[in-house]
Amino acid sequence: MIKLKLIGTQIQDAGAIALAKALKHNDNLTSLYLNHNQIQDQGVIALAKALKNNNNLTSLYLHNNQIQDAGAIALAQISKSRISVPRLFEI
Amino acid sequence: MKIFPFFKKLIFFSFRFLFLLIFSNTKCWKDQKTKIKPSSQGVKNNSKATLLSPNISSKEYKNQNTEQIDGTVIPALAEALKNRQKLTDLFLNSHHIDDTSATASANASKGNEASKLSFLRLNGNQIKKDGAKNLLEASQSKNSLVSLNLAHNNIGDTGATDIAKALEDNQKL
Repeated sequence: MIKLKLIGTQIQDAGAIALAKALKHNDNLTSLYLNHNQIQDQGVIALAKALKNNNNLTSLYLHNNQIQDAGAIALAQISKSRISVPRLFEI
Repeated sequence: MKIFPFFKKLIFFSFRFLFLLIFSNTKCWKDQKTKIKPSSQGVKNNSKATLLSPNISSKEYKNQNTEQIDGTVIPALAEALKNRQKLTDLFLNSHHIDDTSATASANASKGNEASKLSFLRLNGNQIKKDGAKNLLEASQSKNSLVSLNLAHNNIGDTGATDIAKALEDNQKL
């Protein structure tokens, strides 16, 4: 699967952490739409960690979630280790 | 001698015009060839009949809010998924498809091993965690699915975890 859209599906941290775990092992996914959910810092940090090992994901949509400073910092640090930074909209 | 640039321009523009004409024509021809849709009147009148019609050349089925599909049409949808081996795009966004319907269609597509379904849009329905899980399980064996849109359904954390597990277990998905 290349594109997975899970917009507005009431996903919280637990779901985001599970998806992050999957991203570590999956090399096909290029776009992941997780906007309009209830993901908080914990979930976003897990996603950011997973992205360090995954170079295939080019688009990650996370706008309209409950991300605060810690999550935003984790996302900002992705660019240090990755060659291609995914597009991040309205964090 | 002064007339030569004029001719040059004329020849240039005539070639450009010819090129544009040919290009636009081929584009139209391509669109007609690849996108065979069910007639809009048929969808409005009876979506059940459109789904079941043995139109094998049809590659995609789009029903975007032209008529509300509910549980009664689902047996027809299941039948269509079973028999149509060339169907690649199935767009059924914003209808009243719930868990039982999603499971039924998942079971139907399980039986169709030659299915080439690659684009599945089921956004804006009432699919919950079980429906999502069954759909994923059905598409897992065939790995033809390219894009899955489950936006605006009631999937929640457990559904997302199931999807993540499926992605993790099957590298091809």
